[in-house]
Amino acid sequence: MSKYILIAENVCKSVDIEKDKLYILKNVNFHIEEGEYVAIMGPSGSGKSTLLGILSCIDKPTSGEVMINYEDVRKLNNDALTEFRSENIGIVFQSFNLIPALNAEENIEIPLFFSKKKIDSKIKIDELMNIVGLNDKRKSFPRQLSGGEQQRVAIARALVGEPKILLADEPTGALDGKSSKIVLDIFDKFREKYNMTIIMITHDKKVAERADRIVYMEDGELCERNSAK
Amino acid sequence: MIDKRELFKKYNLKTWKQSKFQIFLSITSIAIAVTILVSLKLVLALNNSWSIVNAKSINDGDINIVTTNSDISNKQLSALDKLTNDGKIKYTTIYKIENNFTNGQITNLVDVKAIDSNYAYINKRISSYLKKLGKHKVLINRAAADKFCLKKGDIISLKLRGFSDNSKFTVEDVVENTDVLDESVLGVIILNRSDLQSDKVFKKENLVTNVNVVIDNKNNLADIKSELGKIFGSEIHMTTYEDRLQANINIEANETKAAEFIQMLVVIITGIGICFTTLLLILKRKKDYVLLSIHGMKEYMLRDIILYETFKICVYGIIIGIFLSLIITGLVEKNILIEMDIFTIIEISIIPIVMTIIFIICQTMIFTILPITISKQIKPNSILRQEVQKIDYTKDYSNPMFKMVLLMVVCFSIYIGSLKTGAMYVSIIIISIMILYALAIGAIYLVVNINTKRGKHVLLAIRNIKRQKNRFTICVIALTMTIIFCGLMFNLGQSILPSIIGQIGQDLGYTISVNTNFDEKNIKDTEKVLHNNKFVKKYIKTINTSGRLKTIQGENVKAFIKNENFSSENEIYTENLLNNNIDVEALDISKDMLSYNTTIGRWFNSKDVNKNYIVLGEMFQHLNININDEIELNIQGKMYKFTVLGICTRSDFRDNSGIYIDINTLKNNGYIGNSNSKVKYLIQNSSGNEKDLYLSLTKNLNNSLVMDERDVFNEVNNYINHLTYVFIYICFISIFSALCLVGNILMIINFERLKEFLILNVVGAKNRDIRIITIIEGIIVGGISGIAGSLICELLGYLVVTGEFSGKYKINLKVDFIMTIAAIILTITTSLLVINNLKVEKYTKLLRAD
Repeated sequence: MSKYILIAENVCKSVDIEKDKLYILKNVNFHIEEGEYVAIMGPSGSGKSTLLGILSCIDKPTSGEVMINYEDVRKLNNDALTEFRSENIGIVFQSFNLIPALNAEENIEIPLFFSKKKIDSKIKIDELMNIVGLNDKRKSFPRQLSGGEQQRVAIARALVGEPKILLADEPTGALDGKSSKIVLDIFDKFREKYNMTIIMITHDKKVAERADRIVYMEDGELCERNSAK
Repeated sequence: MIDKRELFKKYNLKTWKQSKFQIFLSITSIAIAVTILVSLKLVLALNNSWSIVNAKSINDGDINIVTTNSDISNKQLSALDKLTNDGKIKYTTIYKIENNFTNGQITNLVDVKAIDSNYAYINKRISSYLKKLGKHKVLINRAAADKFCLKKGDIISLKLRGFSDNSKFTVEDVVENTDVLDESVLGVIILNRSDLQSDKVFKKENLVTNVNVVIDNKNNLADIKSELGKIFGSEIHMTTYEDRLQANINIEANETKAAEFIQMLVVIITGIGICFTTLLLILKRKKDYVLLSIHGMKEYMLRDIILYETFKICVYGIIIGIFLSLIITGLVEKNILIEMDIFTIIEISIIPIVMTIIFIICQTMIFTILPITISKQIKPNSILRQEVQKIDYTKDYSNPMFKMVLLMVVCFSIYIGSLKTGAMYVSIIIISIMILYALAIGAIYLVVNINTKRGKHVLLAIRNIKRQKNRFTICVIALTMTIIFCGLMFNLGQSILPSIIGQIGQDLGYTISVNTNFDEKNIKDTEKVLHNNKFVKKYIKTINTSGRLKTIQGENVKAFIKNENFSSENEIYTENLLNNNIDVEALDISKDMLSYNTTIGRWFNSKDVNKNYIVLGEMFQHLNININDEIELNIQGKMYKFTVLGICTRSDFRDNSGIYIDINTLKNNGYIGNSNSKVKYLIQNSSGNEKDLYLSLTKNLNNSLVMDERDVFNEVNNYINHLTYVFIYICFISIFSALCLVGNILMIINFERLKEFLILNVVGAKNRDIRIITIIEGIIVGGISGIAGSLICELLGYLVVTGEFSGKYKINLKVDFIMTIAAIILTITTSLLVINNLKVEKYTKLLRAD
């Protein structure tokens, strides 16, 4: 069996603009080992978020092959893909994307609504609340939390279903230095504890340097220049 | 895994607070639909059930036997008693006559009805008063109380025709409804038979004009009718309550048709409202739904949760609607409900309520198909990247739309119990909406392209209307439909009915009639009064009598029917028509006052005097009788030969079943008199003020009955007045319903340009400026809707009055103006409500995200 938990082979993504095709991703090849921590950097419009969208099964490639946790995701229909994502992937966004009507605890609980895994939601939420340090804000609504706190709730939500892969799209992009450090420390804690694979998009070189490996994207193409550590 | 109920509790229910405006509108739309549908169904069901009871009351029993000579024999009474003892029937007898009655200055004919205590079997309404009658106490109806200025406790003097003395009576009570036919035209006085004076000539017990029979449930109406026929022979006239029901069947059918149309209108308006509210909820929650789906919610769960939420909203709406409809039905039908027992009411109500609940749930689900289809278009990537995603409405929606229409036809057809009618109404509404859509989009196109100097607010408003013209068009359609609906309701009382009633005089050729007897002095006095009255423009004398056809085209009636080879159905009809007495109206044609329309031949003119011409009524159409045919007629024992001059067309305001002849023909007929004929004067008014003419004639003609022919329409007027409350309530809730729809559409319109408002805010526009823009949009949308609605409403009114009744329709500019202003105010109010509710300042993060 392959040692790679995530494989992207010749992945292309294009959109039709009038009669022309605009390629956002051009033959991207990408392999990630289980437990690896990878940072993706690149200028705006280089295709980082599109790649992350495809890796998180939110978007589909125009061509190419994507294998996640030994499963060819192209063969899955919408419902199977949703189930697969729910079991295997946790996602953290730059803008947190919490549901305003639900409090912190309820936001964290969402993935468990749909998960087939038998996880005791109370114990799991308690554990995650302790790790992200928000025990005193369990009942707070998103509007009552700071940006850093909201991002910590979003991370707890991404991890509550015990995914194998965590995908983060500029998780510190909207945070100050102190909050960014807390968030990145939490990533490290989880990685240590669960041997989790993390793929993170960032513009911040210092943030990227905490990863095992940094890959760069430019004009929809991937170029691996060096290892972070 | 979580199921839809739990997900609803954990997510949707918590977002209701944020979307309270939409939830309120959704629940209100459904509550309105349920209120209208259930109350209409209940009113119709109660009326249908009541019409059977009422038909029995109006008929005075299951069977009403009218005697010819105002008496019955002891043998006949014994036979009736035997049927009673056998448990087949219960019966009572009545003595009912038209009698002159004078109170103060006013003399007029009234119906006097002498009943006994057995009458309780026949009429429940009067039964409660029976114990109060006797000992010279009477009941009078409202018309008599108003006409003769009488009230409870007054003492009246009554001399009955055929009796020797005056008797004094005390008015025991004034009854609103006595169930006597035409009670609003003549007054009604009810007394106990025991108060009739004993006379040597006849026994009170045998003095009978009507025998009223109630049949025991185990017996068949036709069997009892046949047995009674054997007892009384052919010299009586027998009517059953089924005959009365038959007479009302057309009115009820029209009521049902109108109700079905209103139901369909309500279903469409509220259905579209539900569709938009659900869509708006989806739009507001699109990001949440994307997040839920990223975290594992599958497509089918999204569909289920939307449907489940709509179902929940529907249930709350239904509960409120049922509650409101019960109150409204109670208020509208309180007179009927008082007289029905609680179990009957529950029995009648349960099926309409259950049917409506099922129908509304189905309707709500059907109208959620489109929002669900649109929800599938939400693009997660755009949402997560904070792009203000616009739903792509250019996608082909023909499939879900077709599904919705098809399901609606099936659902509505099941609800009203007719696939044909259901399909017809859905088609009519869809075609009407398409026409309205074309008109509205045309009007919007015109308005936005008018080249004038525009201020910044007008410019922004017009640009937005141009950009979102489809949505504004839907607003215009919803409002226009409401204006048409409400306008028609107002116009019915303000223009349509007055125009129709005004047409009565035109159609009849006269508005007032005076009935008098054959007494020569009386006739002379009446003619003198008519001649000298300044309000009388023209009058003619007529004699109303009856005759029987002897020969047509030289053949006797039997041979004529046989030779003409009518179909079996027509043969029975023709036999009934030609073998029975026919109403004969002998007219003074020398004054050329009347001119009735004819299908063949012509009406009389003054040159036809003494020429023995005859004009046949509408019933004689299709009997193969032609002009110049010879007809032989026996009028009160004397034979006459006539030549057919014409056959009349159908009239909306005149009983046209008889025949018309020249009054001079009857000059030497000595058999015509008080017992078999009536003298009637038909009068044209010179002033146009019928009330003055009516009052002056009533005052001066003490021995005659003066009648305003338009009084026949009193019942229609009363009915309309009664319905006014229903109309006001339907108008009110349809306006509210339309507002819910318009409010929702405006919410979608403004929700999608939040960013535009925010940018305007950033560059210096105050909230006031944003409000001015929406007010201008409101004026444009409301103005177009108001003008279009009023024009269509006037057109429909014109078509009804001129097409159906050949009358002159008066345009009611006042109502049109009010409706247009109301439409503008309603749209502005809704726009402001929406803008205030949207709280643009809450969405400033939209600017930061990009």
